[in-house]
Amino acid sequence: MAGESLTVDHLSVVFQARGGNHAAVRDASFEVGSRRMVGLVGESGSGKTATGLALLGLHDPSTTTIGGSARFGETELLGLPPQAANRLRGSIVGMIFQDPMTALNPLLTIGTQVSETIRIHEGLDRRNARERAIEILARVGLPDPAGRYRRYPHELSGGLRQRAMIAAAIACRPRLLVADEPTTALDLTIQAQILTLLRTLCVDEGMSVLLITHDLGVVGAVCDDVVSMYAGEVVEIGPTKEVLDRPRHPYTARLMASRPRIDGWDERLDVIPGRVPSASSSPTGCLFRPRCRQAREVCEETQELVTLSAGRRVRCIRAVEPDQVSFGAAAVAP
Amino acid sequence: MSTATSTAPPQARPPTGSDDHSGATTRRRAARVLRTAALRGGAFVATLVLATFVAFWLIQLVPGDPATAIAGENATPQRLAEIRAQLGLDEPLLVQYGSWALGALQGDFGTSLYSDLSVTSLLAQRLPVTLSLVACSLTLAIVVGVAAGVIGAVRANRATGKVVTGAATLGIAIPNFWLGLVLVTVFALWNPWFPATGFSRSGDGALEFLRFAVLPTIALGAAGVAEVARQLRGALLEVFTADYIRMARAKGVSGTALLVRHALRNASVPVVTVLGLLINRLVGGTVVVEVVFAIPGMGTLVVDAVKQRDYPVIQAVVLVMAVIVLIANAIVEILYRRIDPRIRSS
Repeated sequence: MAGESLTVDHLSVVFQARGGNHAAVRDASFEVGSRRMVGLVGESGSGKTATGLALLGLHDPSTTTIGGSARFGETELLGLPPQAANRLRGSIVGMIFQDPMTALNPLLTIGTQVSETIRIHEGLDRRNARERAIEILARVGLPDPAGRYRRYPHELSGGLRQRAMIAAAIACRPRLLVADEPTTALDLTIQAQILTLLRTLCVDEGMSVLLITHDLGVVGAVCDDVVSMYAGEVVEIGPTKEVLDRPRHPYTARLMASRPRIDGWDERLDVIPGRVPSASSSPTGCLFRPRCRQAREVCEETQELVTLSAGRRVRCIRAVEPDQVSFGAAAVAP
Repeated sequence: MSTATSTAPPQARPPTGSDDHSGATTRRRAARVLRTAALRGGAFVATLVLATFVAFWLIQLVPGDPATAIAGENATPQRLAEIRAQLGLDEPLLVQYGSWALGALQGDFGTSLYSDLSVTSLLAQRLPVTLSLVACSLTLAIVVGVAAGVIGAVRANRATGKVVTGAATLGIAIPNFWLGLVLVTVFALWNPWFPATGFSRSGDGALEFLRFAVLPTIALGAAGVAEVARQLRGALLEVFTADYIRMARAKGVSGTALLVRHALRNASVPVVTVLGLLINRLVGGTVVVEVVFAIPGMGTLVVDAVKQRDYPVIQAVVLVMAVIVLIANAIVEILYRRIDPRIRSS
């Protein structure tokens, strides 16, 4: 279990469609350290899922162009020939999805779907794969794993289904797990259970986890680091506590402020005005500028991702100015 | 000692308790199965009664009757009445139907009004011919239709896929009698590769059977091929975008396993519906195709019977066709349950 980490370098994902190209991810660079859990946050359309799918090579190559590189340890994940990509998926890199209702095949038993991964990658026969699958089902906290092995997805509750999906994804102990909104479709108490499970897998199995979410509360609860994306660009990177306590990019700050809080019912929700620019337009300068309260003339120039300290990077002119203000304090001030 | 005696009874009890419990569940399940079977059986019989009665009634509404056909145009009214009485046609409709149904229940479908052959022996001659034709056409529709549907979906954006899809759309629009005539003209008259008419007799051998069966099978089954292909292609294209396909790919599933285990299984549900309807249409379609190819099957039998008002024969054919359709529907139902566990458990 060497210290393998994921290094994403200048990743771009462009969808070709009638009426032009859509850049879903623009020149994104970030790392997921070995055995670390990294939250990839942003609004819908910010390129989070496109990034995750690119790491597993799940985009349709006939309509998608992928650029840059993503290395996990010594292995390049992007641009692999189909067979090599199939070998990697499920064995080195795993992925789980948002809705366990639709991501499990309704016609196959839980057991078939978990042991399938094992049989593909480890060539085990049915009986041995079954034993392993039941172990994995127990590992993800599914009660009565041997009984549930024979059940179909519709016979399980949402939380158990999500556990079953995680079991199918980690059955061959992948070293990197991409979790795309794994708790969004679940209710709150189940959310906490699934997040705890992911955290446990990360720590105990030495799995690196890229957790894609729009929920900063989830990130604060389980992630070591945060990568904040806006309109396909990475705008802020840093350790979770630092980023959440003192966000340095106005977008991350506004994401924090627009979080509904259980203790603040009388407060109006602070929504970010405007919307993520369409991926087909190719604007210049800071992409968040039209929606930013602190926007100035200088923001019309292209902004680079600037390193402030080790592991702390921000794409905003104000972050590098001497008279910097804490957006976190400004935005959340009563 | 005291602890041992106190723990013993609870240890002994659970097995008997669970036995009772599982016995009760088994009985309940058996009762439910019986009730379902009784309901299904009742519906089956009711459908047959309704179909045969309506046929009985409709035929007699048609002007002209067997007595005229037998005695000729110039027969005296007395002679006609005599024949009618002989055939039982002077009795009320319900009584006639009742005596027919009683006979049918005992396997006696009466005698043809013209050939003096028992209807049962006519059916024994004709039914295998029609059934083999329907079976061949259904096989053609499944084998070629599934292959074309898969190609149309997998290569949806390429030339092959588009050609297959275009051909399927065309195939649905072509009427079977027209296709039959074209096939006869091209492959029997211009190029004498296949016989234009007739059908092999039993004992002629497989090759001879195929020689006679090829053209009518294509004429009858082409629309089915197109229908299955179109339906499967549409279902597959939808399934390809499903989350569980992406999940399967994320696990490393690819190629045949992805297509067969994950995509085709899910896409087969709407196709099974189409197959059920297709069997009904094939049974109906044999009437036309058998006439075009002069095949001595149920289709030609019923056409002649209708022309001659041969009531017993018409009735028997209607009954047999209704039974075939009902059996096809039952098979479709069973297939649904086999494919989809959600239907099984509801």
